[in-house]
Amino acid sequence: MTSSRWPGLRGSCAVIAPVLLAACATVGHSTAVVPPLVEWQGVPSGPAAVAWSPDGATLAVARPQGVVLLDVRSGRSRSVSGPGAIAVDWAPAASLLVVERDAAGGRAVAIDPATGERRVLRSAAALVAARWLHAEMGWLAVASTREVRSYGTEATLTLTVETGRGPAELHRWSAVLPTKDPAADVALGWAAARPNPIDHSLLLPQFRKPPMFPPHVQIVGLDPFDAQPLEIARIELGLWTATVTWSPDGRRAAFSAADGTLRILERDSDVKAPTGAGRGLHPSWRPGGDVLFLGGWLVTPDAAPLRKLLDRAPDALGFWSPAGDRLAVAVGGKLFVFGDLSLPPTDADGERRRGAARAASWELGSLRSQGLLAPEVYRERRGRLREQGTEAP
Amino acid sequence: MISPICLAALLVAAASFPEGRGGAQSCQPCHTKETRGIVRVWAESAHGLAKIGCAECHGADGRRNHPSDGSRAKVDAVACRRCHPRAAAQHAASKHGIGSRAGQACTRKAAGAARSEAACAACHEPGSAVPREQAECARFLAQTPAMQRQGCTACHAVETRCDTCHGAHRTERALARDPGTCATCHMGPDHAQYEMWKTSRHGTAYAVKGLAEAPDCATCHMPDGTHDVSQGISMDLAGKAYPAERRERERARMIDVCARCHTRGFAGRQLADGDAVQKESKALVDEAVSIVRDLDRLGLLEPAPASRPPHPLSGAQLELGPQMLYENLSRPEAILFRMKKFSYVTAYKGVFHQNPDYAHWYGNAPLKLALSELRSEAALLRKLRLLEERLEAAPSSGPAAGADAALRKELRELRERRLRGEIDDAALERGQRDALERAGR
Repeated sequence: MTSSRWPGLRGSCAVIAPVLLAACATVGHSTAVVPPLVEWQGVPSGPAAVAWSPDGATLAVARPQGVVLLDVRSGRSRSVSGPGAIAVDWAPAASLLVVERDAAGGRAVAIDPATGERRVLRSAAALVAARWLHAEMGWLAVASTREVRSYGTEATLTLTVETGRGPAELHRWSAVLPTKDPAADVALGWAAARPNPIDHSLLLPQFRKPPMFPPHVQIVGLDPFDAQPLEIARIELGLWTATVTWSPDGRRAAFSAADGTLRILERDSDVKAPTGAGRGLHPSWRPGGDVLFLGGWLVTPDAAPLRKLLDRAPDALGFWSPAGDRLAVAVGGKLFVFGDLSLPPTDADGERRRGAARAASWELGSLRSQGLLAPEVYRERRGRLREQGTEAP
Repeated sequence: MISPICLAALLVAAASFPEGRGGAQSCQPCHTKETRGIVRVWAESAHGLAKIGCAECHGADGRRNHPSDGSRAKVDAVACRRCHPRAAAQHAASKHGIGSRAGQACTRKAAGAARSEAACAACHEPGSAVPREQAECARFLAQTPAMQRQGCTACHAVETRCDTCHGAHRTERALARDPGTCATCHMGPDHAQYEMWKTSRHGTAYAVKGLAEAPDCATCHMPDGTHDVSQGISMDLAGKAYPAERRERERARMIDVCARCHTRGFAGRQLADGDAVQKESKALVDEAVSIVRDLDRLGLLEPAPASRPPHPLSGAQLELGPQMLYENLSRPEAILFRMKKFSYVTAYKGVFHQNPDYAHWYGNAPLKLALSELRSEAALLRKLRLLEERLEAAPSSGPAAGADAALRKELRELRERRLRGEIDDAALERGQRDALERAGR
């Protein structure tokens, strides 16, 4: 059984024998079943390698040659940063946040996509991903270090937050992993983590290993304003990477690891292992929360397959446009952009409501981070905003 | 070490071990050379004199009796029960034996358990060395294998092994009864019963006059030779209350023992004082638990429970119950651990063992000092947090932008009043809620 401890999000889930779909992903090449708007080569398949512009017209792609902006209607592209881009995020206010790494080290850079103007935010060799926080009011950075030893790999992940007062470490995880593979991706789950659409909190998967307890992935919830990590759930898996993504309404999270099984962590409910046949390594919610992209398929939150987009793509990473009408997929070094997916329009009113709750939640967080609200008062109001962000008008 | 030739001869002989009361003659050829001391003390023991042979206790399985890893051929209490059923039943009913039936000791016993798949599966996942989730002793699980063997199992083997007290081959009652045998485990900061008794009037009289005029451990805890060492103890482990009926029954049993030397009234009053001290001390521990829980709620424990290696049973959450660890704790938790595990126990057990100095200066005083320290630590941590937050509240700080200036001013004033001690935490929270309501937040 899997246990969960989080006020409002309790869970349990049966143990499922790992089926290493990642291995399958290396067999053969992914091909599009539905004709894509754009198909590109040479795209790394990191969880932060692709970002949509706020208007959904342009894709930013982090590539070894630099960040490339791709106009998905015309297919035209242009470079806006120097070489070594490994992660990119695009703020609603239009700035790009790029993590670059080259021989000189790593750095997080804010780039104006219109002018190409660069501003180095921070230099740190171990940076692997960075995300904007609420309309560029701050940003999060994930750093990853690892050393291969005779007994395994010593890995450490660090999450820092920057809100104008200098970087502050929010959370750190370290472990000796049972692998000596220097290419093992230990940071995937953290690099893929995006802030909750309502309350800006993060879900971070952490592998916990024997012999003190059975191997499991511990999902830790972290609020940038109230840095007391909480165990959200435990999922019994002997795998050290997993992807957890918030649903657009911030009430649910989708979890998947290399065993390919989708699990839904629901607030005020149990962790569910949906019964549908959909499988994949990286679930991605469509804005609106009615559909997920998973392993080359569009599936329901119950993992019931709706439509196949790609063949042989269990490890495909999906990136939905803000309006949910386009989907970019990175897999096997290729980028596919799908346009006509015959999906209903997303709920614009709902998005406005969530936007208001998101802004209020940020303001509340700012009061908390300045010590003007007691933790209990802050958590109580934050819970109320979560409800406001999701309830029907 | 047994020579290979000798071992081979023994294994051949083991196949034809005589049944029943014999077996010694098959073992003796090697063991009189290899483990001379063992054979000698066995020959001098009641077992030896009664011709109870090796196979009677060890069984006739020569391979099992000579484990390939060189470990000892241990004898389980089950073997002793065949001839000593009454003592074994009393032992099983007591706290010495109850761990087996409660399942709280399954992993502790694993080191001595039969090496069968079923025995392994009691504690480990099938076909794996990974402990099962239902392993119920966190402090055991958190130790290295060497410490598990030497620091845990060495005492807790008493649950299934009679030789823990009686010795493996001499099995002499005088040795088992000697208070030094009890002291092997019943000493030290977690429960200093031996030291309490030894430096009490009972212990002093025993040292001078012996058993004829003074009690040892067994006099009070094993009256009339019972192996139910919990008889007469009116509370469960760690001072946990028994149901009233059981409590009264056990208390009456202990007073019967005391009444062999003292008046019933005197004995009753002494033991009632022990009850009172236990309850008073427990209230102090409860307050400490509540302080630590509150600090956790406020995020003031460093390291936070979710930031440290998870508790083997409870996971990444605060664990202050019987399974509390002493590793990776914050300072408030470390203070609490010493309070509940050392001082609290010492305070009331000091009274029950008639040792005023242990009750007061090793129990009561450290308990109250620690609580004072904890209260002060909690107050400092709260104040530190407020000051830290005030320092961070620079006007230029990023996330501050956008919040209502009047609301911010009101909340700041509330915080200042709290720092000056004009309002308490509850009033601060009330004020903050009111301010948010008025601002429409």
